Amino acid sequence: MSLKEDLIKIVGDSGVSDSQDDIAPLIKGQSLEPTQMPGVKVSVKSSDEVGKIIQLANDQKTPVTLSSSGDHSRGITPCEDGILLDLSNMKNIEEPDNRNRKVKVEAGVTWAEVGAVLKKDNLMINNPFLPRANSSVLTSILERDPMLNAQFEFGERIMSLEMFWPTGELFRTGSASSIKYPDSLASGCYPYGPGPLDPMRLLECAQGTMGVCTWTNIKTELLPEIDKAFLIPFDKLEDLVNALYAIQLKKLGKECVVLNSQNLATVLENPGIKSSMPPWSILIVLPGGRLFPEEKIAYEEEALNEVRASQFSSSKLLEEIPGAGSTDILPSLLRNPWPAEKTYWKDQPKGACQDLFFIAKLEKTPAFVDAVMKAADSNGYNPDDIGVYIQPIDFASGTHVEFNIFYDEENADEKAAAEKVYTAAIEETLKLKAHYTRPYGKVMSKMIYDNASGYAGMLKKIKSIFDPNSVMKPGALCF
Amino acid sequence: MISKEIYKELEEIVGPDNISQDRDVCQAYVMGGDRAWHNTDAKALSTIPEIVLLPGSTEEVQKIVKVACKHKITYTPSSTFWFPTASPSNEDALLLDLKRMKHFEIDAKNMNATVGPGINFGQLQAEAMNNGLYTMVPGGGSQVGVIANTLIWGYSPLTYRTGLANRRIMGAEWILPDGEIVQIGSLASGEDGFWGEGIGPDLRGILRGSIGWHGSMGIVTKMTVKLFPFHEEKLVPVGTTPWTFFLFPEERMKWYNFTCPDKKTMVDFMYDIGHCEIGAANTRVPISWRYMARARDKEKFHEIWMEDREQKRKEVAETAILRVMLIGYTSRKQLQYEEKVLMQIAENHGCEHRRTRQVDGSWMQSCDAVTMWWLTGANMSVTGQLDSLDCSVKMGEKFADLKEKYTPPLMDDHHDPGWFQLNDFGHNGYLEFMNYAEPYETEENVEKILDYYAIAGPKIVIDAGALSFFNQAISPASLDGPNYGPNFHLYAKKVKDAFDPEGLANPPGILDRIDTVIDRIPVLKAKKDW
Ligand SMILES: Cc1cc2nc3c(=O)[nH]c(=O)nc-3n(C[C@H](O)[C@H](O)[C@H](O)COP(=O)(O)OP(=O)(O)OC[C@H]3O[C@@H](n4cnc5c(N)ncnc54)[C@H](O)[C@@H]3O)c2cc1C
Repeated sequence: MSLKEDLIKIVGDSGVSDSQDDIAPLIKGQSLEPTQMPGVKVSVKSSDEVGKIIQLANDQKTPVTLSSSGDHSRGITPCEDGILLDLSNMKNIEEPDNRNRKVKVEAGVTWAEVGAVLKKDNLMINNPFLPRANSSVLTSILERDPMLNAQFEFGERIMSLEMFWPTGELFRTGSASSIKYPDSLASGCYPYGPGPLDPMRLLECAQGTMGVCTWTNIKTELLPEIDKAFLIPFDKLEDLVNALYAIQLKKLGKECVVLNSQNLATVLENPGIKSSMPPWSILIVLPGGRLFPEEKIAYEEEALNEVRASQFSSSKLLEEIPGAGSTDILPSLLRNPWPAEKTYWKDQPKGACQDLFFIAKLEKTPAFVDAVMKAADSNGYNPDDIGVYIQPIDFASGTHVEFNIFYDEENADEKAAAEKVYTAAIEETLKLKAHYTRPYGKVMSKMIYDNASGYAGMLKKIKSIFDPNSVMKPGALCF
Repeated sequence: MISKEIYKELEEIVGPDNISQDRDVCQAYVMGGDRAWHNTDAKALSTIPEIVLLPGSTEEVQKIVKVACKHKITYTPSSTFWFPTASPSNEDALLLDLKRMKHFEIDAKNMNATVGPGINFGQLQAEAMNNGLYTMVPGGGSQVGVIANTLIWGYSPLTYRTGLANRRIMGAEWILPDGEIVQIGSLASGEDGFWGEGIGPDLRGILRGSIGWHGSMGIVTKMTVKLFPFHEEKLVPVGTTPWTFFLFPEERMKWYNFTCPDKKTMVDFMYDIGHCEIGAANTRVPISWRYMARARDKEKFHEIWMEDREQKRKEVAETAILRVMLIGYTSRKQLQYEEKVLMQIAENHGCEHRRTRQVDGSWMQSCDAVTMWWLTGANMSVTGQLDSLDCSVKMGEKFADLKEKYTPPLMDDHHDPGWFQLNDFGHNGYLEFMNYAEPYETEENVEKILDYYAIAGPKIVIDAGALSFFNQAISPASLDGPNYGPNFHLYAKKVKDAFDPEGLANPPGILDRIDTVIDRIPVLKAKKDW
């Protein structure tokens, strides 16, 4: 029997296709790397089907690539001739457990879908920066897209999950690991283990190489009824850095984001105002609490003013975005995915965008920005057109530093320049010890793992233990 | 018996002052028998080491491990020696006492500290506070090692804000069981250890899960741990040992005790605190703690705790006291705001605010922790429940019922439902079910206690479908394994076998430890029905 026939036996006729027309939209991504065509696409609706398919892949030693989102902005590069396992139809959202502040979502649930459900109860999941409406919540969190809320307490959003090991065996983590779950006293509110291993950590940022996650219990949080948002402008990134350390040390605000003028103008969909924008801005939202919300905002605002006076008195706390109206728009902008009906913000400047991001200490961000801008300049790309987004994480004890290299896919010269900038920027940032926790694509992962051979060596050993037939996306990462 | 040649080889690594084969010295590293432990494993396994070594650097530790691997000698790391797994379980073992490794660096700006195994929480907390930061200190006391505790447990009421230990591990330098070094987190990128996530899959997933390996997956020689914003006002130490406390700067830090109408109301109150995103810690106060505080010594405690048992049982059943700590991290006004919210929640639930002293001897730096734990000659918790607060409460009730069947020999605590608190900003709860006993019991009673810990206790946790952070430290993997994951023990074993095929790192290892004990103790073996 052929692979396709075997797959049909598991999911039925309609779930399997080897037509290029069916497959192409699923792997269409935005990455400078060329995409490969998988042999067959199989769409699943249940965990049971996932397990059977992974077992089949092991029997037939066929590589498997996972796809949960309608979005592959980082590129998906499936394994040639392998199975593309499409989880985007796994759409179940369980009734939110508001007492324990969690919601159980399957792999295909998108930010837009879960947001609509939670809003009814004035709840939210802490989201990353303007994700695509059709991107999977589960993959976004598992791949460590940083949330905008910089407060440590709201992090580690996954509370437990169900997975299939690369050998096709079912497993659940943390306090959902009892075989009695969900008919158990534990409701899956604790993520780690069971035992001395932490499978969740191995799945994180594994790009589908360490197993398949089918659902997760995710932390939900209060969606504040009122907020006060500020834009704090800076001419120099160095000054912003000092201000941000001081703000985070005081635990002020929840959503807190740094953008350069290029990205601020882009997300406000008004490229004309770029020149009137401050070069650097902190966007910060002070949320009201569940009780006495105004009073919470009042003490935070007073403290923010005190920090400003003592640490960054030459900047103001603006309630107006230069050329774009009140900062009142920010909470809603920052707590929602990019509207599905609009061109995605990263596609607005030039149609396509290559992201480059890593983790660094906040104090080193000016040096990284400098290095990437120089790499752009020396490779024929206007540094002013590069978008920068800096996300403080855990009170700015680390930051996600992201560069958005916008380019026109139809313009060969521009695409080539973007490619050169991308590679040069990786090289230059590695010299400054950028910590690339998410190496996407073969070009980047080779450069990163060559630079961290000890870590890569241990990862290879772990991969061979859990995926002895090397079926889960072989060739990605360092194995 | 380890040969003279091997001794020489080891002596060359650490120098003659840092190695000993003296029986008296080695005897000090035995944690079992008379050392007040009612852990089944401490009793059954603890063995005198053949040689004790005090390495002073990562390089020395690595060389020792390589010598051990070459000659197929087992080795046990010990940092602050507060848990039985830090003492060998077989003859002819090396004991690596890591207390000389006192590397300490604090990066206040990026809110982390890098420590060696010899640094304890007292030291870390003092330096953190000097820099306007803080962390949690485990209930076991601030004398325990930061690395050892963060690797294996890491709980205190302060974990409500400082999170579970897995999130506090940043970069680490780790000597694998075969002697190879791996740098994890941002160390792998050549940076310092400020960040914990890996390059792609996160190797912290191998370093620890819901528990740690207890030395059976190599030795961590350096770890960067996260620190957290505190406030700038000083906590002034007062008193004379052993009665020492910190005075709280009351406009920035305060305790609040509440008497609640009943346990259910108290639990709802706790949930509301989490939902309102306030507080620095909140925990149920077991009634025995109040008697302990009143008694000041063991004898007095037993006198007042055991008198009029019926009345005590009623008191335990009917008293619900909640202790909440608020911190004005941001400002004094934050404390005022949170106090207003707290009082509003209390009013909504009909809970009464009680006066309490604005001092701390337990949670910030744990100066009284040891007195608190040692009510009898021996103690050990039987479960550490991790999940929702509701799960903690229900498991506490189940354990209170079970414990009655084992009381005596366990100390009567009048059907107390255990110590529960909120973790992780209220996203999950925690239950620790403590038990006290006398170590010099009749054989029959000792056997009863062993059964309670190693078989009856784990079975009710499994039956309820809950997860304990004592799994494998108390319960047999052969029993737990098929019930969690399922078969988490088999996956962990695969990893262990790949990195330590000879099983030299602290055997029998956390995965086989309690099964080994059960096989060695006939009364337990007879009860093995799985
Ligand atoms: C009465 C009591 C109450 C307690 N209460 C709490 C509590 O509330 N919260 C909490 O979190 N903990 C608690 N504990 C646990 C205690 O805090 C831990 O045992 C301790 O944190 C670990 O430090 P240690 O001194 O025990 O380390 P050790 O005894 O030195 O070592 C413990 C284990 O870790 C291994 N180990 C040691 N150093 C290393 C290393 N560098 N690399 C790899 N492995 C190593 C050892 O081999 C051993 O198996 C309590 C313990 C007791 C006795």
